[in-house]
Amino acid sequence: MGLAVLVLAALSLVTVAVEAQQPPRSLLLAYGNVSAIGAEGGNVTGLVATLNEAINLTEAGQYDNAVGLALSVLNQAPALARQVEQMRFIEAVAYGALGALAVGALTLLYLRRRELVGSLWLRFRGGDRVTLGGGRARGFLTDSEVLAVLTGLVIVFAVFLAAHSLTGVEATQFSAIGLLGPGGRIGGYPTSVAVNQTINLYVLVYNHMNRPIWFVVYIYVTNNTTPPPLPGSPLLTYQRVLLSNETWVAPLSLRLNETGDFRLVGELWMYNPLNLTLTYTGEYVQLWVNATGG
Amino acid sequence: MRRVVDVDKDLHGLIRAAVSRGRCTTVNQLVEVVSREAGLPRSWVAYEVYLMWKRGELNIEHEPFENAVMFLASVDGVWYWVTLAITLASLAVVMLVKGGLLMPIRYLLGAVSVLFMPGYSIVEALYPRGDELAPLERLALSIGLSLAVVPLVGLILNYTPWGIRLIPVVVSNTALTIALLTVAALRKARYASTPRDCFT
Repeated sequence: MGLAVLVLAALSLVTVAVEAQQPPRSLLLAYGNVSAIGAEGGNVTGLVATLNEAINLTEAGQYDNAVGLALSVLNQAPALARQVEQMRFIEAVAYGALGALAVGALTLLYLRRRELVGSLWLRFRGGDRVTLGGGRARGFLTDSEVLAVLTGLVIVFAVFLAAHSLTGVEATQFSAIGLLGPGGRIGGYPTSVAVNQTINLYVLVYNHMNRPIWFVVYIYVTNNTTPPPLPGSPLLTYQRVLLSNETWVAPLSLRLNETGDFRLVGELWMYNPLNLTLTYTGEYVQLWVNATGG
Repeated sequence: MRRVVDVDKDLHGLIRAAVSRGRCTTVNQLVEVVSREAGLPRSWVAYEVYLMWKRGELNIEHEPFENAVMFLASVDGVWYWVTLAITLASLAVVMLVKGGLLMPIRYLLGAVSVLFMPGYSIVEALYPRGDELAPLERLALSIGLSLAVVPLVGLILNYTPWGIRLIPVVVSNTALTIALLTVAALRKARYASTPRDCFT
């Protein structure tokens, strides 16, 4: 059964036809470099924007211009990598100095607490009247039990911070794809539409891989229940390089021009930044829609 | 006559004795007398008086404040300005710091503003006097109430046009904390305007 689907609109972002060209090798290399620098903590916002521009140009068939942009990224990358290395060194020294300063200040404060707190308190409270108290404590930071709990919290926090700074990366790495309803939020998904009625949805992609990642989303409309990755050519392809922790929401509009039950599937693929091959992430979203006549 | 005292053992006894002798004496007078008796610097004695006040062994009474503005402008109101500064600093750091050297401060202030400040402001608003709860109870309630209140803020935000996103969460959490701190400050001011033993 032939399935005909009319795509009405697709976004300000990158939307390409089924027969998307394989990206130029230089663009992939540039992406690998930028991703590596991003993984080291470098600010690659500008380079990622250039990469996305190059991807747009590739999709528009302006192959040479895309290669030009990729080469400019490759030229900038080494200097930025050196800068990141220097920044990491400066950061380590600054953290050490700040830590030593904080420890020194706290030690001094503790050793001179009687002079400092006593004279300040006397200055502001000297005129107040004193009577014997009822024995009910009121001090938050002068209570030994509270201080013991706070010390425990500080130790836990310090261990976490030290582990985080030593490993240099966050432990959890994942990506996510989601389908949002017509209002750009979860819910309100269409389940039954008339033939040729416009379906407005949004595709959401989130990058938590701790480095910039080139994501590719394949959109299929099918009437079978085959588990992804689906065979054959996708109806639509969205692609974009996302910064670490970046969320990308892309509008998706389409119309079904035949009656029946159809399954809209969005598969999340990514270019592996280490070997630069297109890899299925194992993540997908799907929505069953019943197209009715009239 | 001057004599050398052990700060931890004898000084508290000297201070208690001096307070018993001269009821409603001023802090300055008390410190002066004990400092002379113990042969210690005034700041050392003042520090011990401060600790004894915090532990509930002494009461410190201030002349009643005429209104809340005077309370907030006094040393008793410093508490409000410090907590307000921490809350606003948390807001600024969470909104502005996205990376770099200040990230640990973002973690610290973010954790405090979510896990402590909302509950602390509720506890202060409910128990403004200061000695109704033990300090450890105050700390435990502050953390526990924060864990209870913050999800409720999220639940309410879910039904608003803004949704559960960083900026609405941070702003509403800050607004709630500031509102409760202000209620607490007004209640403290009201309590501080009531004349007590030495001023009746």
